[in-house]
Amino acid sequence: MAARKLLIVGAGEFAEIACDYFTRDSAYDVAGFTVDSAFLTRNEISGLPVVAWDDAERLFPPADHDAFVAATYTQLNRVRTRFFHAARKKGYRMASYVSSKAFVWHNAVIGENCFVFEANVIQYRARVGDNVVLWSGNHIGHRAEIGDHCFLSSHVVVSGYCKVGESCFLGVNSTLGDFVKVGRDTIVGAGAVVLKDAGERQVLRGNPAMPAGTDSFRIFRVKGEP
Amino acid sequence: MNATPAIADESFVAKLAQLGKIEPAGLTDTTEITPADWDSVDVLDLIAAIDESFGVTVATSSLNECRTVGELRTLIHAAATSA
Repeated sequence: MAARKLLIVGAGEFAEIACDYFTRDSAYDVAGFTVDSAFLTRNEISGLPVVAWDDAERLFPPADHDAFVAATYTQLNRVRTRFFHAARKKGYRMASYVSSKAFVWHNAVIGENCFVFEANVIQYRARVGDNVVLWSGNHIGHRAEIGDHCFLSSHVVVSGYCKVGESCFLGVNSTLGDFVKVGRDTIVGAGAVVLKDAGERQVLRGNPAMPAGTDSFRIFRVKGEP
Repeated sequence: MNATPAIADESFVAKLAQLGKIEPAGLTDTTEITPADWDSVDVLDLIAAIDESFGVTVATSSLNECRTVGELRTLIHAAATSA
């Protein structure tokens, strides 16, 4: 069976990484890249074309291309989320990448437009929403739930039964204890150990983690939302 | 050649003093700051404060190279004039 073709949305470092990972470790053939025309500064990456977002569906028709939005956590995941919805609206089926070197238990669920790097462990009945990036080496414990549009940096521990709301950012080496619930749009700082539930738009840091006294929208420069 | 303007924004000075654990009244160009040693959230907090007070975005890597208030002032000024 011929490999499915893939359009990568983005042209930065993550887009280059995604291209290499999809090419070497998935059933996809990367066909090209697309970016907003304001950011169209080069015509090719790794020998593949980069085209303006407005031309994407004409040059890479959704009928025979899937798409992956390769953006990180800019504006607390808002840029990635915006293009995720826009790509779907154009008619693309969204691709997820799961490293062959990740451990994903058979009944764990991973959504669309997810990127799961090497050495992630996703345990029994864990659920990872849509448009989630799990950089390398995270632990998603049994029955834990990661909401849509989250970004987990590296070596994050999300213990069993935890619930992480939409669009959160979890910094490197942060830890959530068993059953902890974190509200949407919350930032957990690097190395923080969260042992109690936290609300929305919090910025947590320290061990045990405490609110930093500022708002996640301010820290990640989210503008245009109430 | 224009002199680099002083940091006159009081709320920014208060924030910088809070993050750098410095007395605001004692803050001069030679006052040492070490953002590279700060908690990552504090660094993002300072970047947000710079944006709010001066309307410019500075990179974490550039901020981490600052060793004094004067160097931070120069960085902000450079970002403002190149925007």
